[in-house]
Amino acid sequence: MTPQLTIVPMTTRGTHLTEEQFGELIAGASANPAAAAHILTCQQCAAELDQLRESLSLFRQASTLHAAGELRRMALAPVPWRGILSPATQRAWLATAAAVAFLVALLPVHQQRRASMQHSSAVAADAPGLSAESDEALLDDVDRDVSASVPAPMQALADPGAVNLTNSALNASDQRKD
Amino acid sequence: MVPENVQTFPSTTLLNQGVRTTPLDDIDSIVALYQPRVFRFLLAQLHDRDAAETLTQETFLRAWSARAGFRENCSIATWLIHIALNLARDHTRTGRFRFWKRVSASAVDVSDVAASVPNREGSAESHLIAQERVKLIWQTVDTLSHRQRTIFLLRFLEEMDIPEIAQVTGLPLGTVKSHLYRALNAIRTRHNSAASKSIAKETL
Repeated sequence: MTPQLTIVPMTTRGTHLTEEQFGELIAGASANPAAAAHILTCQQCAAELDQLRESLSLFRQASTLHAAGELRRMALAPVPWRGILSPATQRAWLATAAAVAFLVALLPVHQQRRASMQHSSAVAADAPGLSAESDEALLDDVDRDVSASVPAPMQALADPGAVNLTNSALNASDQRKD
Repeated sequence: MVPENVQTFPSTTLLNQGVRTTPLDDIDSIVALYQPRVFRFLLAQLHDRDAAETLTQETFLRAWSARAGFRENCSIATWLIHIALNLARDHTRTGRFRFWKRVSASAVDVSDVAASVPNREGSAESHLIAQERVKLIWQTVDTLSHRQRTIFLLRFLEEMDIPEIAQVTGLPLGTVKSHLYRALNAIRTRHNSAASKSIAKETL
């Protein structure tokens, strides 16, 4: 039986490599001989293949250098205690961490209160003379009120003569009207 | 770089007690040798520094805890990447990861990665073009599906061959190839589009 020759088109995109053939060549998988032969004759595919290979190589180099730089920067280190501590000790650590976090969260509130208190005391301290004067005036008023023997509106009653005089003056004016 | 506190792994104690030894008992050397590789893979996979750092630590802890189960039917690097891959998959499944990925301050800046492109003897212009290409690949990798991204990174960042990728991912060879070719096609499409744009700019 004579072997039948079947003509398989090189690509589905005309005369160039298919996606799979290109992938095989780039990935280094066993490429079919037709694809390998095509690369030798097609400058366009060869140039594309070279460019992509170069880009992938650059990608690897840049990623490696970047990762190494990040690793140095972060001084990456395993945390052996995480696997070695007993669960109870881990819980204790977590509780302590939570308490510390709570205290840290409270700190700004405390500082704000303290700052407002300092502010009000500073305002008071800024005007000590004024405060002292107003206090003295207030005390003087209180002293005056307390030491007064008769309330101010009733002072006219304290002198009976004055009342009589007032009454007689009123009578005289009434008579004049009449 | 060997961090100082790695010394606290009680490897020597175990050796003295006559416990069956494994290649992973000497954790100091293992960390020194494989930490950059594991971290690089996780950083490219997650695009997040903090997450990559945490999961790298977790990978070595898991490896050390499960060292008795290491049968040496694959290399230590393959085994560690397998652990890292499982951790990354679990991590990315959570909604919390998706939320933090959007708002995280530790997300990798593509420009920083591109800035790491080594400056060869070429012109400043060719260096800029190289940086743009790296940026483009990083951005495209981020748009790939989880499987495509994983397989692409294992092949082109970790330089694993296809059977090794199949072993790490637990996928059949055909599936690995299919995902790899799709990932490559996505990158190739964007790569060509960017190249044609730059050519158009030059001709203007």
